[in-house]
Amino acid sequence: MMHYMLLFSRQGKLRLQKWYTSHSEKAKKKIIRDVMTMVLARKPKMCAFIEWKDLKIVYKRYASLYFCCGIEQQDNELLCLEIIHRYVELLDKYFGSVCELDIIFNFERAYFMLDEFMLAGEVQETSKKNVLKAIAAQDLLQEECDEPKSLLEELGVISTGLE
Amino acid sequence: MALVRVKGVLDHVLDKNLQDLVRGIRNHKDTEGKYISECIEEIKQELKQESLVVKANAINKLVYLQMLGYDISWAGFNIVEVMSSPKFTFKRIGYLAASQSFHDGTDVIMLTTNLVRKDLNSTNTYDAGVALSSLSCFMTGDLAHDLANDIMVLMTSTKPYLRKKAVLLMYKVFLRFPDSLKPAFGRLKEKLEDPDPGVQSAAVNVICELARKNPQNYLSLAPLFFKLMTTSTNNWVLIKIIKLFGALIPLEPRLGKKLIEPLTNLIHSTSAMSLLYECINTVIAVLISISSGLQNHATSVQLCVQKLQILIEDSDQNLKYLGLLAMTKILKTHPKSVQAHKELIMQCLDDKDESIRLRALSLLYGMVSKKNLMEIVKKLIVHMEKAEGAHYRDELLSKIIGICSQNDYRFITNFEWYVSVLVELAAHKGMKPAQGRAIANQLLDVAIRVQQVRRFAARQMSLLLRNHTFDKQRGGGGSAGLVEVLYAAAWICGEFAVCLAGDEESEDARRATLEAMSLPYVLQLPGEVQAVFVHNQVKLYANLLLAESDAEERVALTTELLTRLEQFVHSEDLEVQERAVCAHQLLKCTAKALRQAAASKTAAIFDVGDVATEDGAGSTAEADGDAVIDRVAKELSGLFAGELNPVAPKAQRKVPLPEGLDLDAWINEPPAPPKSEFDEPVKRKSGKSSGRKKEPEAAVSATVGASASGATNYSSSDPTVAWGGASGGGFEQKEYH
Repeated sequence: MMHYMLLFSRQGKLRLQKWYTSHSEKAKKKIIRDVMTMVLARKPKMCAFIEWKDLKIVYKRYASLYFCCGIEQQDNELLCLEIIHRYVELLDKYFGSVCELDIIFNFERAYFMLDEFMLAGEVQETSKKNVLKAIAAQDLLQEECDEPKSLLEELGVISTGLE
Repeated sequence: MALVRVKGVLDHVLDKNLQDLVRGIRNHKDTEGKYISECIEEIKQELKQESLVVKANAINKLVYLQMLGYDISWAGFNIVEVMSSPKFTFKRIGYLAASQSFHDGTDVIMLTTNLVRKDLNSTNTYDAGVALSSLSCFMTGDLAHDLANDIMVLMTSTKPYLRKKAVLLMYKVFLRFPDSLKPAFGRLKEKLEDPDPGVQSAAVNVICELARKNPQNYLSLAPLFFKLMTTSTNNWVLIKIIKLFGALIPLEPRLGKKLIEPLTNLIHSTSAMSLLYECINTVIAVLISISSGLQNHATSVQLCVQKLQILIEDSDQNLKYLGLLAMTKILKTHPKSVQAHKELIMQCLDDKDESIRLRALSLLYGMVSKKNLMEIVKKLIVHMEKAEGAHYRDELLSKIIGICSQNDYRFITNFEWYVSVLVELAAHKGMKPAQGRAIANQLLDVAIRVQQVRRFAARQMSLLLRNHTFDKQRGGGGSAGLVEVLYAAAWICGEFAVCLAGDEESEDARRATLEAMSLPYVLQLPGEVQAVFVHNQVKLYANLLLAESDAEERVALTTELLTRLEQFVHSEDLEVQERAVCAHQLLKCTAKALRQAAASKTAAIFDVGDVATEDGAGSTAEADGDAVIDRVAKELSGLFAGELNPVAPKAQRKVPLPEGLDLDAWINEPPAPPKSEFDEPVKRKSGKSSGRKKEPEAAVSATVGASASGATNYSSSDPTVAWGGASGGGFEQKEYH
């Protein structure tokens, strides 16, 4: 089971944090700080696995972003690398040639994508097509809800019965 | 009224949305903190508004800020409000905020129960989907308890999308609310045969995780999984199933035997590294559990080792690391197969990546033999010199000591070489106390147990005491470790002082060592070490005294040591002080005796004026004086004589008990048990008693007392009464005033 997934830039700015276990805010902050220091200190030629406390940290660097996961001792590290890669592929397909800025400005979509791919720390859907289909359907649902209304409706003066 | 509303809402048309916030933060790189506090203030205002549009926007911004590290728990109630919105967009945002910021301690979680239940049962697929996804992040015990049923219902929903999510979420529910496992188990099993592959793999996932925690219950599902394994082509699912088998194998050896074949097939056929790695790991687990049937599976072991070799030789660091990791596992049961690849692993020691080097190090344990030990240790020492990280260096040191001392030094052929290695290690800068202690222990162990090496060891230690550079390294890590080694050095020199005596090969090192032990820096050392120094100076001195024949020399030696010990007598450390004072007094007596004997000698010489008879009478007096001195010296060294032998920890048990000694009998009469205050009123009434009473009488008087006072404290549950009855003789009923 994956315990958490973190995305951060080379400068140490956090871009995404997804936790599959419950921690207090203070504990989360400490973990993020420690993991970031450890991973950013690694040289390029080193292997992508670090043993830390009772977890294994698996990380991979794509351009300027580090994708970092904390998995349990019995989990397969190579599989975790595959998971990271699959997630990047999904983001790439969705945003079209994804870059860090996409994730910065549309961070909630990155979260939604992750929520379709993984649930409770396990892989939810192994088919890329199905994940993208679900995301597209939900986007459509959002657009239908957000159909352009008249200004007065928007301001809530005239009720549309939707709120 | 309407106008007020319009005005209020108009104010918020120009609110920042998420894009504006992000852009704003990027533009205010220098004043980020201030800018964000302003934004938070704005958000707080927005959250006070009625409109859900505004609120949702605010929460969206808050989620972003939370990611940057700002605490948003104060907005908990507002998050719940947004979650309850019927509009999908807002609901999604609310759930996202909840999954990011809610945890066990969040008090608004109990408000969410009904809300989530409504969403789970909603007709809109994606409402339920969003709820399920989010719930997995903030599932608490109460939520699990309340919502278990709803989620179970969803497991049989018509939509595979929801079934899949529900199955995965059940795992979280099981973790928090274990009682839900029994009723849900049947349905979970059904999902293994669900027509939708997504749901099926979700079910496999959950059962794998459950089986890892409690393999016994899932053994019955093994045949089903076997079928799945042979029919599935989805690598993700295969890996999970193989991992599941890995957890079940220790319980059912036959399963292991059956698995070897399909696993080896997979190893041969697959091109996916992750699957290959998983298979190899499971095969190793199988081989460990059925280690009795080694002969049949030699081919499998060979195959695994061969594949691992390919992994280690790969230029990809990750594969190298994993190859070494798996080799470590094989090492435990099949050390010979690993030894064949010794060269390869030695090469890994030179790798740039520290993690790989550490892994290769841990493999060394199984690979040393008498022949290659020296070569390996030499290589490791070279590594230590150019090692960059302190952690790596410490690892190297412990490894060197570990492999040399394993199995009672089985692999060491030349102990003198080992002692010199230890001395070399001790000279390293930046050594921590723990490492120093390890080296010190080794030195002591080897010196005590191996008689032949004592001479060499003592001489080396003497050199160390005289030449080390502790003084120049005041404080700092280097000294801390060295201090421990000095402890060992001083002790060895003292205990085996006889080895320091001069002979054809080298000169007498005893005096020099003695001087080295009382240099001013010694006062800076920790108490235990100082104490050892003091004590061993006395030992060395005793040895010297015995060996020295000239009386004057002896007296000079004694007075010299006396003055040197002065500095220790006033030490703050109690142990040091005690030893120094004892030694001081002892030496004073010795000095007095020696002076008297020497004086009587000289007196004897001067008494006889006649040169001719000088030799005769003088020599007898001289001889007397010498005899006294000799006796003094002998007795002094007698204090420290006796061969030290290592004692096994269980030796005490083997000592036979002498006849007539019963270790379990009481030495004295057991004391009377303490009486409680309740005894008082009753005793006064019953009045009798002194001395020893027989048991029934005590009980009778007790009941009489009880009935007299009506007190119920003499019922049988009262421990004092029980004691009184049982110990009979010791129970005295006295009056307490």
